[in-house]
Amino acid sequence: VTAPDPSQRASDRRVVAQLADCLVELRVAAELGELHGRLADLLAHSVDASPTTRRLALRIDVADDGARTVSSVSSESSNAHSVGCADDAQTVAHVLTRLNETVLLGSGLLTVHAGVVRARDGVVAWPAASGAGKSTLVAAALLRGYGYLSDEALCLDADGRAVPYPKPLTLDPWAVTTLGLDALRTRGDAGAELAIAPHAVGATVEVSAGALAAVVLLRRDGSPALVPAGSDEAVAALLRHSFNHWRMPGAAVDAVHRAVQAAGVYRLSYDDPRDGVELLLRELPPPSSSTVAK
Amino acid sequence: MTGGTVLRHRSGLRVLPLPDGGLTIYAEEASAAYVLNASAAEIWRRLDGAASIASVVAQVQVDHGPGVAATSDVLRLVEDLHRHRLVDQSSSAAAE
Repeated sequence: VTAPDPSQRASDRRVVAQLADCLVELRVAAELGELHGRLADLLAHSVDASPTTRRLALRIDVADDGARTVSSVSSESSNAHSVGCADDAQTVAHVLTRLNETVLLGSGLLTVHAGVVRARDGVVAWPAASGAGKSTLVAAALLRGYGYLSDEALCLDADGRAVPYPKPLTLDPWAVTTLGLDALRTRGDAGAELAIAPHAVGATVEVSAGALAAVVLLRRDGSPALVPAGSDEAVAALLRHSFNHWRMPGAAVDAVHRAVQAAGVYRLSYDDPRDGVELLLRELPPPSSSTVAK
Repeated sequence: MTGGTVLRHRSGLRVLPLPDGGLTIYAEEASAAYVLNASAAEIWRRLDGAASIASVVAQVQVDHGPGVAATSDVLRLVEDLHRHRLVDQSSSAAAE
């Protein structure tokens, strides 16, 4: 399936990446060289997965007054989608929103709202709703040596293996400051959510599917603690936070079941994400824990 | 339902065991999944179309010690299972 924007031009600059089971092709008008560079950096990681027929094509154009227009079309919908953006920061934010909507809702994988990292013994996921602190905990974990799969979604294939969805991290201003990442801010970012390439925080990005080693249920209160929980709680959380289980309910249950068969389940209570990661380090160490500085 | 009611699993359900003793029950016709922890799964397994609710409660009390909480927990669970159409009254009990 090809779904290019008919207005694309030969001079457009391209960024192509496969995220989960969707090939994303981004074309940026030649005049927007800086924006192209930023998006190429943010979408530098492509998943090494089975060939896919799913496509999302986006094109960013610029008007004489400097306003940008993001046009997009996907293999699942013949309707083109077009939105005006005032500046680069807003454009990046819109591209990422469109990416999440298209890749996750229409996926053939079971997609679950979750933070996902790679630990020494496999993939660790924390399913949770928006605002629960998933991305902040992912960023804090990456800073301590965990590998990156996603700050947005756990994508399970039919065998229950986690396929990476390595979109850029999106952090709110509090998280950026708390984690000491203010130096990564760029012009126009002040006060807004910041999109960060995972390699910018020193993370290794996972590009292949992996087995789930643990599901961590987040609780943002009380003293920091990491305690065992039941598999039933993990299954319920993974199904409850799924984006697309309604499209394939039976297959969703099967994928979750396969995923949790060998996974530990924990409940993590914390307030400061750095405390949360300290607890994870003891129970679910990162791939190269011996080289991680405290 | 009374203590003498006998329940059995409805047909057409997919029951998937979890590694720590719990269960997921998937009801295809309702496209709904129900997750039971290990304790609830133990009671589910006893609803075999032969044992009455009273005997299930008695067996739970033998296994885990007597208590009002055990009785009310079992009754609440079987009512939930019945309300969600995961169990039926067995035909022999229904005919009584």
